[in-house]
Amino acid sequence: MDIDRLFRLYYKPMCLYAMHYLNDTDAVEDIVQDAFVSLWQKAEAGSVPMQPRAYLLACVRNACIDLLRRQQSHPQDAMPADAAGADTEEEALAGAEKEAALWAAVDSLPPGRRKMLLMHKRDGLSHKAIAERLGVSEGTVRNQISRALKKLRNK
Amino acid sequence: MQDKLDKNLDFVVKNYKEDSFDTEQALRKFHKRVGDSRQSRTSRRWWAAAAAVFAGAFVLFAGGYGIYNMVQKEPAPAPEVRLQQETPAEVHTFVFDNTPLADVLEELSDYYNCTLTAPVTNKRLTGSFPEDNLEEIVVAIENALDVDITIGK
Repeated sequence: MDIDRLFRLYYKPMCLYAMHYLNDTDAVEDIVQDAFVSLWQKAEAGSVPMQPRAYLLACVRNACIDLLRRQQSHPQDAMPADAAGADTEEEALAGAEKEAALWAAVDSLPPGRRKMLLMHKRDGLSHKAIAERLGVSEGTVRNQISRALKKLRNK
Repeated sequence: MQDKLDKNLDFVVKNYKEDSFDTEQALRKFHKRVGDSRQSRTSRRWWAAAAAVFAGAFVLFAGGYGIYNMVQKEPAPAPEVRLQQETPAEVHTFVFDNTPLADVLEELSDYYNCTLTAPVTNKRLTGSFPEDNLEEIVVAIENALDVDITIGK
């Protein structure tokens, strides 16, 4: 089992999958790291899971639910956010893989363009407000965000 | 399809955090975690192997040393006993010149730390006897003088 290959293939998708449970990137990364360490330990012990991806998914899901149980007063309500569109875990993972690709695409955006995109889509600022804060024209902001979304939608 | 993509995109953009989910950085962190375990295990294996090699070398050395000692062992030198070397000149000689038998017996008794007696002691002896076995000296004197000499403690 090539653990490095599996890591590069599934690390980000697992993180995005966990993000649907938890809104904490640090906690998510710890959980996914633990899942891969668990997989590695299994392999070292000579019992490689037949489906590593399913094993990782189960580890991440269970760890997220455990964390939510410790944090929430109604642990039975621990469900992945925005999971209504996913009928199965497979669909949820497929969505997470798309989101991982999108996350990498955001990473690859030019810093200025990414900043404008996030200020608008994540932080909820208007084009005008962004232009005022960054000292650029509103047209520039609109143009940069449009180009960013075009690139991301082509992923 | 587009709606779903937009939903995924919307989720990513709304939750995006800079410097998060860096796969290569995370992989290095992962290697460090499992590498410590590997190294610990490797260290234990190395120490176990080193101990086995050392024990084997010790057994070989001890065995070889034992064999060497068996082959090379010489009898322990006997404690040196100095025996007083007796040269002919140093051998005591009894010299009697017409010496009364009583005196002869007295001298021999003193020398050999015993008591020599004879029923007749008025005979005289002339002759010389090297220090020797007392029994043989007494026999020689008995034959020469035709007397019976008793050796007492």
